[in-house]
Amino acid sequence: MSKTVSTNVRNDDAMGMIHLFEFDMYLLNGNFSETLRFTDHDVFVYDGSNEYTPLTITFDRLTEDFTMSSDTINISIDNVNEELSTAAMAKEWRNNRAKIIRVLITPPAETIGGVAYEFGMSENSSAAYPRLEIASLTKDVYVLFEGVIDTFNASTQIFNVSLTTKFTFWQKPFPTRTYNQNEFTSIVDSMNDSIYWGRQKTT
Amino acid sequence: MKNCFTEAIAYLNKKYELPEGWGKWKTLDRDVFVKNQNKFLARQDHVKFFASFCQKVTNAQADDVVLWKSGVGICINQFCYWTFDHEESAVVTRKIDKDCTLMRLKNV
Repeated sequence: MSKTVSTNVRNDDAMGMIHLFEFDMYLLNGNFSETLRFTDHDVFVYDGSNEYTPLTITFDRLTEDFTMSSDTINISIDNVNEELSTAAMAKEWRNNRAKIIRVLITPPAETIGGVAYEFGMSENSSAAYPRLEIASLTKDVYVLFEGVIDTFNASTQIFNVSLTTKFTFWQKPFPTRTYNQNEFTSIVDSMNDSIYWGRQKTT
Repeated sequence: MKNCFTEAIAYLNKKYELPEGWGKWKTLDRDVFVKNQNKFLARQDHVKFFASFCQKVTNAQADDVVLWKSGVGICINQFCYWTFDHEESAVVTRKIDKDCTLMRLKNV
């Protein structure tokens, strides 16, 4: 999990921010089935190799700890035609990869109806339908959250999913630090030792 | 001249082999379809037209045909389809509704 902001491309106020969501689905026999891709943008988004379907999709909060990873996110997705709940019941949805990507784009200049706009709508579809193709746009892309699908529940309208981190940082030792003389000596001694998850290292 | 039917047919015709027509309607006669749009849709001829070379399905996939009382669209995936919106005179994407009829070309 990382946040690598490659370039500082936004030197103007105009900025478009969209999110891309990826959910891996496995068959019940354990074989990979497909990756469901959604976006909270108005139209389809194409990154050059994958297409993201625009659905009403929201996530509640995104807090970070010192490892720059988030703990849990609850996502709400439009259960279009009950397709999502059908897929979730027919395939293995839980404990598979879930990813949220944030894309910051600078919309390119565009002339619409004879009027030149400095920042256009950047609807540059090469498909039969409206689609934003971000491959050639100036943009920043970073992973906002990567984890696994934990629990879900669905109604005919809404599909709710809880995502948790992959806990890849749980093996990290607690960083040692030096305390000043005002602090109680025994506490300083114990805290200067390497602690890992509640147990004092004995060797 | 365009309408939802001509745009759907033009798209499918590029990728698949379509029949010459159904009844008196010729598949690639765009102007006739646009001119007689109301009659064509009111008589549900668009449903019969696609039923002549498609089969009904329950789950959508790309390039399936979406039919409703007064229009035709093409599925993008299991969630959405595109259609030529007559009021906006432009292609728009919409979510697949439960009331829609889904059809798949028989030779696909």
